[in-house]
Amino acid sequence: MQLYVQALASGLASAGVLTLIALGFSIQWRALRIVNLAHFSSALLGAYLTFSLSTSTGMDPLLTLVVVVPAISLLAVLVQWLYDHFKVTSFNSLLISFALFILIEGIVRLAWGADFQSIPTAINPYSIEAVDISGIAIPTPTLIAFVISIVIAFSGAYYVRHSYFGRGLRAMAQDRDIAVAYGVNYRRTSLVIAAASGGIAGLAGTLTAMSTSLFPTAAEAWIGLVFAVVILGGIGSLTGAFVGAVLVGVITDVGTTQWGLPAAQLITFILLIIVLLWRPYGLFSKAGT
Amino acid sequence: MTKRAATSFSIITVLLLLVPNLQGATGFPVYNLVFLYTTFYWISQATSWNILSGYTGYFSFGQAAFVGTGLYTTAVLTVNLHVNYFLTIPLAGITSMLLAVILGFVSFRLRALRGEIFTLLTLIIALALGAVAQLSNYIDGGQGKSIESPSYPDFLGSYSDLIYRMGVLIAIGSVATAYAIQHSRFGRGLFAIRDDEDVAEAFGTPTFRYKMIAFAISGFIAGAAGAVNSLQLSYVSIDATFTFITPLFVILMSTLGGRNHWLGPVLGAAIIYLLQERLSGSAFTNYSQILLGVILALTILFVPEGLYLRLKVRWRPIGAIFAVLVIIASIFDIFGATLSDILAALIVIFPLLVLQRRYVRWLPWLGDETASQQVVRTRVNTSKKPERAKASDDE
Repeated sequence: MQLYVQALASGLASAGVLTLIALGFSIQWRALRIVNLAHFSSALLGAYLTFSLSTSTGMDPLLTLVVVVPAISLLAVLVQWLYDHFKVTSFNSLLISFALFILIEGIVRLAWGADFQSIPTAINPYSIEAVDISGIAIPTPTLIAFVISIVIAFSGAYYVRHSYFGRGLRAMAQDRDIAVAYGVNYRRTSLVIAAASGGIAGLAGTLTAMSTSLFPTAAEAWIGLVFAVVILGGIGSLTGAFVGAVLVGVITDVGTTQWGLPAAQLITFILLIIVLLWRPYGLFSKAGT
Repeated sequence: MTKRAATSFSIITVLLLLVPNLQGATGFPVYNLVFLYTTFYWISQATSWNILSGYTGYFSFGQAAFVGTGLYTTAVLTVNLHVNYFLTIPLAGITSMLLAVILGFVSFRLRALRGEIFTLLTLIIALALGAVAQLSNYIDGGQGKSIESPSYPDFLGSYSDLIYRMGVLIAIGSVATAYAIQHSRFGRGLFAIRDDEDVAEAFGTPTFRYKMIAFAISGFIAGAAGAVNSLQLSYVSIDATFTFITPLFVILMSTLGGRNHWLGPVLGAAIIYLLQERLSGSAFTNYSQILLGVILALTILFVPEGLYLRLKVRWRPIGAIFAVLVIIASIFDIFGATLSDILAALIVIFPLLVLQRRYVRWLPWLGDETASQQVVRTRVNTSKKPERAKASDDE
């Protein structure tokens, strides 16, 4: 029993990084109609950047955020500028971002090698640290990610709901042309969203590098998980992304404890199919909004 | 299919089937036969992808799932159940077809965002199938499976001849299918779905049924070609089967060659496989993934209609330069093998093909478009969304 409670808790906690990656992907998909697979590459690059910075300089991995978040954010803005400049449609965005995804994976493999790599524990004490909550151990980086993801998801949802910018965003999600005609600045909004998504992806990357070892194809596994998270929570819903991530995280961890990882992936996939058939707009959002 | 097209396809098939006999006479290396077979394998895969994704605009990343289903159907049937290998080829096709039908049933029913959901669903189906194969010791269990070479009558020639001939048959079969679809009412329906699905539906195109049929055909070809490829691989493993490389290749090939035309994937497959094959033998093997990514991005941005239609407009000057380059390279023996010569010439003329006319205006003969060629261009441009057409305008 203790084992399952532990699995439940760590699944809950692992939802943090998933939420962080899903937030940007989800909002770009909904508001900009861009299915940005390069978003996963951003997170991967963030993780590797953290790894390099802290291994080479001996810096505390949390401190590298000062460099990683702006750098990845800038990269995301550049990519978004590219999409805007070439007036990329939704489908072509999938293709181009797939090309970028493959490209960046190749670059990462070339620059950092195909092997597993992790920051030495001497520099990264967080990787072996764990917070003990009444007998259940949760690794510190995962816990940090969990707390940050709650803060960002809920404050972001509040901001989108109640600010002027957020109203423009929601108008754009409903009908871009009409929103632009009524004075929403599309290019500025898209670049701001890209910057925020990129920054959060960089943060997710740093937290990943702090807790696990890295390898170039790690981003491929994220695509499946994050897609499940976004569909379960509803495309474009920030709080939905958090709830979806908790669901996926718990299923993955408890399922892995019980039947092993492949079975857990399969359960997530079957759940996804059921949700797509039953409530294609996500579990928690109303149709068409 | 018209009588003329049917005759042409049969003549080409017979000629290609006779190539191994030529090998006995002239003695060119067996490796060239393997190279040709693999090219044909990729031609059938790219064509299979194009029948659904190129014609209807529903992008599928699930090629690996269909190929893998075909491969593993053959593996399980021959190794576990000792079914005759040749029987498993159609069975593999049918299994992949069933997978396609199920996937299509789930995703084509949606009204909003159907394209994006379909794409991402196909993206993760390969991962899910990999998980299934990993879980079941009956299918794979993480061990991989060796495929034994089947026994076959002697008149079919050596083992590599047999594989080559099966590859040719599947490839020509799929290309002929793509040709027939493009020139039928069904094909026009698929193109209408790509242009505007709601309008197509309003004008009476049975969109759901058409998409399902196209997806089923695509799945069948992918599975059957995968079953044939199992002989060439002779060892099936999860990691090598359910990868991103297969969808990357087929998307790249079809997009580069041109998604609006049945010949596009054929052209793209020949170019990309040649490139990949030459790169993997050379010092650039580490860069091949990066290079493929760059080519894909550049193609989508600068030649959205594909090289086939570009070539149709510019074939005379470019064909001439290409021929001259190949002849010079082979006379002076600059690169060694014939394939390398062709590849080098292709790389040199690639910018001329890809660049829009305003960038190559200093080469006046690239700009000469006759009236009929302009018709081709307008047709291509209007088949896209208006804003996209403006962005890729050549003038």
